[in-house]
Amino acid sequence: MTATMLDRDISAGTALPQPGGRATRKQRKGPSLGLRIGLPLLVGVVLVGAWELVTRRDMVSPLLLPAPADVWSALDAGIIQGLWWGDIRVTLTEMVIGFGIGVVAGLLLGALFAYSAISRIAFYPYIIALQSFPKIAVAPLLVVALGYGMSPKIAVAASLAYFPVMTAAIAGFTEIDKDEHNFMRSIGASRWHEMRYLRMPNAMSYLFPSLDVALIVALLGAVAAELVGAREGLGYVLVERQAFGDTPAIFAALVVLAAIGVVLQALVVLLRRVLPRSVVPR
Amino acid sequence: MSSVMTTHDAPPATTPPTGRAIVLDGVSKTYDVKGGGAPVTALTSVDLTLRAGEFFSLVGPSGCGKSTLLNVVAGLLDASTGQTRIGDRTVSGPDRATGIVFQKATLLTWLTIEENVLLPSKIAKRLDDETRARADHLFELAGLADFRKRYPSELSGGMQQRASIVRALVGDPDVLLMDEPFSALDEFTREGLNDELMRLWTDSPKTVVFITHNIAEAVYLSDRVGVMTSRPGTLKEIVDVPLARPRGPELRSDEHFYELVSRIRGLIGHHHEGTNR
Ligand SMILES: Nc1ncnc2c1ncn2[C@@H]1O[C@H](COP(=O)(O)OP(=O)(O)O)[C@@H](O)[C@H]1O
Ligand SMILES: [Mg+2]
Repeated sequence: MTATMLDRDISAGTALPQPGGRATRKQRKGPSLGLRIGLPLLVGVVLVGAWELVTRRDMVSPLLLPAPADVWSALDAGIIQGLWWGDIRVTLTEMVIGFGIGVVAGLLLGALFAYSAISRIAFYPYIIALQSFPKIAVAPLLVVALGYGMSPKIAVAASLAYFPVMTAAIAGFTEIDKDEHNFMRSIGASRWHEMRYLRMPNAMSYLFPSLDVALIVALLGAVAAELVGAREGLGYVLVERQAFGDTPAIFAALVVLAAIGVVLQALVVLLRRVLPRSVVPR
Repeated sequence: MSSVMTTHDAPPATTPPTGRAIVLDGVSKTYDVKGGGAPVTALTSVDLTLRAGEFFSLVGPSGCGKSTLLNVVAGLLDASTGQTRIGDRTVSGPDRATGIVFQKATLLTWLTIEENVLLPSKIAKRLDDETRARADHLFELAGLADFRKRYPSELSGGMQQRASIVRALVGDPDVLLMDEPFSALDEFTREGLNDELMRLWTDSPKTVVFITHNIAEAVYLSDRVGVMTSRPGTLKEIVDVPLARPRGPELRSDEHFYELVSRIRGLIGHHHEGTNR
């Protein structure tokens, strides 16, 4: 086998990746792992150090910029002693449900617009108009209509999350390689086959990059709606602590929100890595 | 149809011809241009008869209507006038008995090589043991047996194109249409694949229509070479290639081979000047 493989290499004129190996990924040599972890860490330490220095010398009012130690104790109370876990759960729930609804709606609308020229002509201008005004401005109205519970937050989250998914889905369903399409025609593929073997996988490759955007705007929508009117959730924590002039807690809550965003995006990246190519084409 | 798995060691002349005759009868194609431009006449009245099992190449400058002709035979494009028959079937749309290889390998990146190759049979609901056995045989012949579970992006361009040839052959078509299948590859790879294609064709002869820019390639592979000229696209001349088969790499330095190549080059050059005048 080795001999014929060598022949193949020569006749193919190109070096081949070895079967079973992941040669291609290893060949790309970037900065070392130590550097990639160490450097950001160093930057973090320097920033916190500068922050500490600024607050210690009273260069900025603690109402605007609290000392790192104060933020830490607020984080300690909120996270380690568990004061905020309920709020985090509420915000996450709103966000995840809003995200889920947004993804499903985005996919369905994307498929509809990709397949039906009539519906695209009829509705797409309104979708774009809707997209270009700030939907958070509707939040007060939604709170009046749906109350102080989770539903108005879910609605805002979904209304923000569906859009990137929809545009990605439209592109994925319609921007089909002309030659691949001709090939499908040449083997007598039906519309369903074309959907199943060409358009759906193509849409998946467009879809995944839109998911982390959708996640982040879902979080944004949920928190923004909580700012308008809520009894729990991280947005509520922000409003309530602000009323007390508790700047360290506000900072701590922002840190928590940032952490949620980072973790969720990492989850999407991880998901993309572990799913097989047949589901998420690369 | 021939029994599928027999290996034809003897040259095609001594075995009953497989494949189907192709007859083009006054085929022309005029494209309507969107936005009100003048219609483009890509092909004017082509009459052409290909024998069953013949290897026929089309050469000619870019834009002379080679792809248009091929797509009409494939049933992917409706001719403006005329008729195309494959065997006793009049072409009216794509047909499973016609295999196509494009310039791009057009393998679906989300399927493994094996899944790609079997997709046409799967869609036609003919994924039976016979088809799988033929796929095994072709993978072996094309040197892809070790790569069937790999994804297209993990293969070199030459291997991808080989896989797409295997895919076109796996349904045992009567006719194989190839539109500049090797023109994106380097010279070295191309020559290797020419020999490979010869082997596959000898193994199970089909009527082949092969488009290329490369005259030497056309002569090397074909029984006859059709020379096309542009503005408007016309089939100007058909050159016989009476070189013995099986052909091997040594043919490339053969005197007769060289003569044929120069003659065809002369034909194209001459008409080129003629149309520009
Ligand atoms: N879909 C199309 N619409 C309009 N003109 C086309 C279309 N496809 C091809 N043509 C024109 O028809 C002529 C022949 O094209 P083609 O068959 O692709 O040539 P070749 O394959 O020999 O390069 C060219 O002038 C090309 O511009
Ligand atoms: Mg062409």
